Order: sequence, then structure tokens, then C-alpha cells
Amino acid sequence: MDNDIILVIVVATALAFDFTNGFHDTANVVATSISTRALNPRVAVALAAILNFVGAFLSLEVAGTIANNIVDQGAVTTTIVFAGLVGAIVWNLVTWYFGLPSSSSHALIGGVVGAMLVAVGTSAIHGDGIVSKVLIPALVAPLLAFAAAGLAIVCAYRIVGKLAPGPVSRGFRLGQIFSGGLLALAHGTNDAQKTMGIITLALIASGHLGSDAGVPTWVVVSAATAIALGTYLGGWRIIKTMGSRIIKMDPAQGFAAQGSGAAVILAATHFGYPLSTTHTISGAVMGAGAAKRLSAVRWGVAGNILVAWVLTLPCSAAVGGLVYAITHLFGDGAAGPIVVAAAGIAFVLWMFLLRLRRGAAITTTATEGNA
Amino acid sequence: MSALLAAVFAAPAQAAAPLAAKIVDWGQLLEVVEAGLIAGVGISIAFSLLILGTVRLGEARQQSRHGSAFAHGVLALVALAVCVGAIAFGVSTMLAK
Repeated sequence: MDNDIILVIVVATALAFDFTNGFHDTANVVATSISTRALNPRVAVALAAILNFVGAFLSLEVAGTIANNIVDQGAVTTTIVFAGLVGAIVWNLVTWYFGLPSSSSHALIGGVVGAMLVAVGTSAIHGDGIVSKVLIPALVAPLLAFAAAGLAIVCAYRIVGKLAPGPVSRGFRLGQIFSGGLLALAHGTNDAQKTMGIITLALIASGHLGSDAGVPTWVVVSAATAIALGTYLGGWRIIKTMGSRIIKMDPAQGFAAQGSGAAVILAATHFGYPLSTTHTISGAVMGAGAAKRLSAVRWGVAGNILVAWVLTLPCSAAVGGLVYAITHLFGDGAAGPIVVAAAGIAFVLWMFLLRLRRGAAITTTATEGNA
Repeated sequence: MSALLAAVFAAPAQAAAPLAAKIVDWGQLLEVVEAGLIAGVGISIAFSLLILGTVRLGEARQQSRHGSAFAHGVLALVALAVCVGAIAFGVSTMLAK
């Protein structure tokens, strides 16, 4: 009975994480389209939500990075998964509060690693997997996207530089609908799968599924729905940061950032090297700005984003570890997860209320300024 | 002294090099960088050429310059084919994951 209650809490928490993932990462997909006025904000967010939903169905292979390469799969329990998810949700909300784009995948990995460290110790952590699957891609993604987008915008300006600006801007705005669509699809296939993988892992750990079982249909549908809903409701604060606080973009820069970002993600995926959509598109936005004029990039904002990236793994790990320790204080039953989940819901509501009181202006600016 | 320093710093470096080679697949990383740069820059060049071809085609047709219109029409078509191919490749990559 206790196991079932914990499992229900874990599934609900995983779907809540999926929601914050969509909510938090909407900016990656739509920010440049909105800031260059390629799309109306509401249309852009709705399109991203639909494509994220579709993307979640495109590929049903479980994203096994966390289960297979980061921690010892045999040592994972539902309580560890729960603590890891809470760590990721808390970090996603904190970075959303400050309007900073950070990787939801890194937050999830950090949360699970932190909970695992407290529960089992260092023996259950695959250090080489963390370096090769998390840290190296985290370095490669923004640098590669920065270089690709920088070169892309230089080439684009050379090719269309002598044409009348009107048709050029219209052309690049039209192109952004497709480049943004590809990004949204890539995001849906990448990120919704992580939640599907986590829920499947919890079902296996609790004995409800065999270790070789596939992802149940209800898991696919619920994960796709949660990420699409989160995307539709949109994190306007991060959209504002990505769309206009790093650089003010023209349509050519917007297309170069989105087009090169999507191309870099998909080319890397083709070679079996998954890159974070957040890191890639942030690097591409900075590259597209810096290639035009170094001073066009607000390096202070870029520095804050970099700090958030560096802090993501240790901070979500700290929260994940702390949550596991607190949960464990109540024993192995369902009491711990119930208490932590109740506290978590209270924390989420408090963050939203605080932000609503202080941050409504950013939502209004993002919508009004571009509608 | 310098020999001692060299030995002290050489030992971790020698130990770290095989470890780094073991953890990081440098060949795959180089492939990713090459493919990412080519795809990332290529898609923007192709789309810019599509815009160039379309705009110049319109101008040439207005001024009845048939040769220029044909050349820019071909340019726009080839660039469009590259862009459509890139989107198809992207979707097929996602499906193959």
C-alpha cells in the first residue's frame, strides 16, 4: 500500500517536473520568433505547445541516459527518484523566478545524483558518465552553437546585404516559423522522453513493470500533455531574457540563431551526442549578436546565465540530497514523500504568488511589445 | 629542482591523459563539431540564397531580364531544395533516435 502511494506521488511529481520543463524551456523555442515579430506571442507559444506534444510521440525509445549512464540503475528506488524530481523542480522554479534559462535535464540529473549520493554513496554514481554525457556536452553545446550562429549571420549578411531590407526581413521571419518548429519538435522528443523514462524507471523500481518493459501508452500521453501544457502557459520571464535581454535581434539574427541552433542539435543527435536545447540556443543567440557587434551582447546577462548553468548541477543535487534526507527521517513508508510533496506544493504556490506580485510587468511587456 | 617539479607535474598529466581519452570520445566530438558547424552555417547560407534568388528573380522579371530571371530562379529552387532536405533530415533524425 505504501509503495503504491509513493509511486502515485512520484508519477505526479514527474508530471509536475514535465510541466515546469515545458514552462521553463518554452523560451528556447519561441523567444527569438517573438522578439523579431516573426510570430505573435500567443501563436508562437501555442505552436510550440502543439509541436512539443507531437514531438513526444515521434520517438518512443526511453531516454535512458539518467538510468544507464549517470547512476547505478540497480540502486535506484522510488524515493530517490522522488527526491531527484523535487530537486529539479525547485531549481527550475528558482531560475524561472530570476528569468534565467538553465537546462532542465541538468537539473534532473543533479537532483537524482544528489539523492543517490545521500542514499547510497559515491559508489552508485558513474563519474565517467557524468563527464562524458553531461559536462562535456554542456561545454560543447554553447560554444559550437555560438560559433555556428556567428559564422551563419556573417554569411547571411554578406549574401543579402545589398537587398532591400523589407523583403529580406519578411523572408527571414517566414523562415523562423520553420526553424522554430524544428526546435519545438526536437525539444518535445528530447525532454518529454526524460519524464517518460523517469516514470518508467519508478514503475520498474516499484515492481509494477518488468525490467525489459516498454513505456506504457498512458505514460506517453500524460508526459506529452504535461510538457505541452507547460509550454502553452509559457515562462514569459525567460522568453523576455532570451528574446531581448541578451541582444536585440533582427529577423536575420533570429533565423541564424534558431536555424543554427536546430541544425547543431540535430547534427549532434545524428551522431548520438545529445546536446541541451537550452545551452545550444542560448549560445546561438549570443553568437548571432556578437558576430554583428561584440557590444551588442549584454555580457552581464550572459554572465548571469553562465553562473546559472554552473550552479544547476550542484544546487539541484543539494536540494535532491536534502529532500532524500528529510524523506528518510520519516522512515521507508509513504509519510516522508507525502510531507515533502505537501511542502513542495506550498513552495510552488509561494513562488508563483511572489512572482505575480513582483513580476507582472515582464509578462505585460513581452506580450504588448510584440503583439 | 626543475627535474623534481617536472616529475611532480608530469605524473598527474600522464595519468589524466589516458583517463580523458577513456572518458571522452574525441573522434566523435570532432565529428559533432564538424557536422554542427557545416549544418548550422549551411542552413543559413541556403536560406539566405533562397531569399537572394527570390528577390532578384522578382526584380529581373519586372525589368524583363530573362537570363537573370532564369539564373536566379534556378538558384532559388536549388536553395529551397537544400532547405527542404535539411528539414526532412532533421525530422528523420528525430524519428531515428
